[in-house]
Amino acid sequence: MKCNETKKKLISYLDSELSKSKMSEVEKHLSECADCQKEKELLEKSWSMLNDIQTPEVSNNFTTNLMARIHIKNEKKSEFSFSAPKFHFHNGFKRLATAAVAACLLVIVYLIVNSYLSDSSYSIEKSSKQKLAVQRVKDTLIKVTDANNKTPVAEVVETIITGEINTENYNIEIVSTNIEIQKQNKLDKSNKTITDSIDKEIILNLEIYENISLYQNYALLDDYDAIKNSKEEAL
Amino acid sequence: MDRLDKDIELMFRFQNGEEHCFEELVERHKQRVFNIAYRYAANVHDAEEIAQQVFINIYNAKQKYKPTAQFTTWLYQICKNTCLKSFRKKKLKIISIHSNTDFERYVLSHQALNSKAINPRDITLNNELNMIIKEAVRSLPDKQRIVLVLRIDEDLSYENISEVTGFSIKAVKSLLHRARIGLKDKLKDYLTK
Repeated sequence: MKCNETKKKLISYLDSELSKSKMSEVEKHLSECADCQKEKELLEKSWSMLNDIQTPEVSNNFTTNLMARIHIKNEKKSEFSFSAPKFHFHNGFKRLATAAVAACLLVIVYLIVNSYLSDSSYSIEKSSKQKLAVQRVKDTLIKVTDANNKTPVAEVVETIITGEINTENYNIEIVSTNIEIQKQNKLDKSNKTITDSIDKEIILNLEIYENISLYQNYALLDDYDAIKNSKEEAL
Repeated sequence: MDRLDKDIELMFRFQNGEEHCFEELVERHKQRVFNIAYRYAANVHDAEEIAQQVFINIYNAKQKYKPTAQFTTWLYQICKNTCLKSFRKKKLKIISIHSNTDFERYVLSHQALNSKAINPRDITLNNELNMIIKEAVRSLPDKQRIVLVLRIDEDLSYENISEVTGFSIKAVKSLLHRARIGLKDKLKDYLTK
């Protein structure tokens, strides 16, 4: 048996998956070839090293923390007066209902964002001041666009999204993890250039809402600046 | 009652509203899930975050579970998908490895920069060997990695791995074969020191 053939069979040999005759052939070659013998030893050692990796113990409060996270999310869902269907839906009726909720979300977010932009105590760079719209494109994607000309401003990719609306206070609460902001760099020539200030505001908004939801505090419009300032200090 | 029946029973009861059964399932499998997540994560904190996400996904998808297969097969599938999604989101840098020495240097320098190693469990485990092996596994292609992790951590048979991943048994063997060779090549310089 030649070296190439032997090396191809080494793993099967180590796992005792070869026939007796093949096993003998490999063993014979290994006894005569230092290079293949070394190859075999490297395969053995690297495989056994995997078993030597120390894997830590999971934390003692893993389950407690997990259930707390789940309960927080469930409590928020139960407080939602408008019976929004879950975002993971399975039939046509739920899709229709979800589309209706998404449309309501869009309108209310537009109202909130518009009110922020018009508030003199919360200002964005004049050159970049735009009306923003948040549109759910699919379960895990929210697209933030310029409401005037639909220019994509940013795409927010989220692992889990739960959108809720407190109709009394007109606040948006987004519970999300692993938020990732991706800039739409490749735009048509007619589209406006994305400005850093807008991207930062979007990130800031979502981060604030995320933190708020985690601590079960509902931000009122009046408190927004205080939270924003404290967040900026933390950053 | 063996583990297989116990898991199915707990899922049924959980589906019927007994949430404490879900907690019991978590207790029974949390270390297993964490072990797999740890192969993907950069540190203990991230591994626990991934592991928690796995169970959240199970919680949310409880009505989808059908006992046509072992509960652990379903668990592994969710674990695999969650780990992979999280791993890709973290955008692990793919660097050009010109030699195994380059790889080792990269890992050790990356270890120094891994400022998230603030958990005491990270520090004690953050030794050179652990980090090199860990990064060697993380640098494998996705399919090879999941097959390797299921084989080495969970000691699953080729058939079970095939069931979890959807790959044919032949593909599982081939992927595992290539993973082991890949690992050997990555660790060669360290092994021959």
